[in-house]
Amino acid sequence: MLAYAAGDARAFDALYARFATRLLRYLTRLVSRPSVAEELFQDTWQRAIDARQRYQPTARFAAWLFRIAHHLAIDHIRREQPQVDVSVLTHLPDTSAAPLQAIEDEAQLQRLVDALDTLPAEQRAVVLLRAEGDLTLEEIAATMNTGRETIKSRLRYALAKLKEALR
Amino acid sequence: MKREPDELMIDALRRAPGPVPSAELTAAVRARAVAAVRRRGLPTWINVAAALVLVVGAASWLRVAERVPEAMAPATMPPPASPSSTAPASAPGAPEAFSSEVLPAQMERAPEKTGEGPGSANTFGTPATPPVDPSQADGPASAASRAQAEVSVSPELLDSDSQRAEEAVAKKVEQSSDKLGDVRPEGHGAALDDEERAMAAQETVPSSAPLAADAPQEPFVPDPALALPAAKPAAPSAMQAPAQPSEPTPYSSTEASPPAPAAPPITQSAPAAVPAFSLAPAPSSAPEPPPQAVRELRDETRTTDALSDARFAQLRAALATGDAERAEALLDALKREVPREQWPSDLAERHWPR
Repeated sequence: MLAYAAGDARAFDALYARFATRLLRYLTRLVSRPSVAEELFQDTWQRAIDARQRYQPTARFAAWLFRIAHHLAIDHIRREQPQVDVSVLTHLPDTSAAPLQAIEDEAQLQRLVDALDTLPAEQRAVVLLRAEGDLTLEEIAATMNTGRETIKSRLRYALAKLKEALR
Repeated sequence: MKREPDELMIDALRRAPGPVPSAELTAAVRARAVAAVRRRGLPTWINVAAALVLVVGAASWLRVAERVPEAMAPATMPPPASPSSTAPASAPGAPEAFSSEVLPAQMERAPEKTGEGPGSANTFGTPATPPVDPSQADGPASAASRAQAEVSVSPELLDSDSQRAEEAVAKKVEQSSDKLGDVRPEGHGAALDDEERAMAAQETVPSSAPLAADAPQEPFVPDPALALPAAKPAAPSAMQAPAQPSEPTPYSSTEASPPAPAAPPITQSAPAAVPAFSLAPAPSSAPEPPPQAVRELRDETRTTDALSDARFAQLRAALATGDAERAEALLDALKREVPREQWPSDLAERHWPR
């Protein structure tokens, strides 16, 4: 990103090739609408392009990029649907006996993706930032402006629901 | 051991089928990125080019602004109205720019100013350097032109002007003496008294207005009794006139009243001529023109001599024709007015024995 900010257009190609697919998958699964996801995808890259001079290498580029995408997506979700109260999700399903090694075929993966859509937006965002963005709990917490423990709890609840959906 | 299922779930999500950016989407994003990089480079060149254009334009404008007054100065110079005003020399330190608004007004007023009051014009007997109306000559251009006109008069021109003035006076005297000779024997018959002489002398001297009106090239000699006293106190101010061009000069009020010690320099153009004349570089071979008082005395003497010669000629004619009455009247008048030493020797011995 520093090379691109200095004027090297080819550096942007490397960044795009590395993060474009993951970013689009994150946005598509977060907003559940491919057209909106593509719009947010372009907006995310445009924001990154415009903010290239202000980029500080204090954090990973992935965390910076997915934070931009997350804010855009959350703003869109908040405009499209009412706020989801995640506090009601107190029931933690038992995942100890989940047959995770069996998630190999396409059908199970599709069920997993479908189960992901049933998660609340904030839990879904935590799972997706962890899976697609490969962010740490700290990075996810910084992206979502919450505490690390909150992120850890949301991730635990989300994975428990997904395991339950795969049974 | 418990984290492992969570990691397996995350890996499964990563392997799950998902959307891939299309070629159009990729091209659009890359085009924006490239355009942003190119836009970033353009402002630098644009800024540099704009700065260069501004600097070059400002420099060019300054050069043009400096050259315009130089080019305008000869174009706005007043056309030469007389040989005395055609001197190309410019006064040192005088501004080169001449106001095109003032000079035509001065030229228009030139004819009517040539015969104005004593000491008001004709510094060196040159009608082409008319007095400037202070209401129109407040600017530095008029002061510069005035100084230039004063300084540019050369001694040669002055000398020729004075000679022409003397010739004109002599002609006038002859004409007036003829008139007197025609009238006196019949009318008064007596010789001229002092009053008549004074009138005759004044008739020749202050007749500059008709002379100037008839022949602008002919100068007139200002009356020293009127011009010189006003000149001396105002000469320094006249010398400083180019340096103080913006001061208003109540010219119209000073025409009728006697000039004050701190009178404006315009009204003392004749007195200012003395120091201004000293500024002119006089060539060593050129004869120095006589002072004005000397010229006045010479003119008066010549006037008297011309009158006397005319009457002596009339006396000879009367004696030759046998007109005893006329001869006697002329003899009495000449005895009263002309000293015996100035009589022709033959007439003196014959008609005015010691």
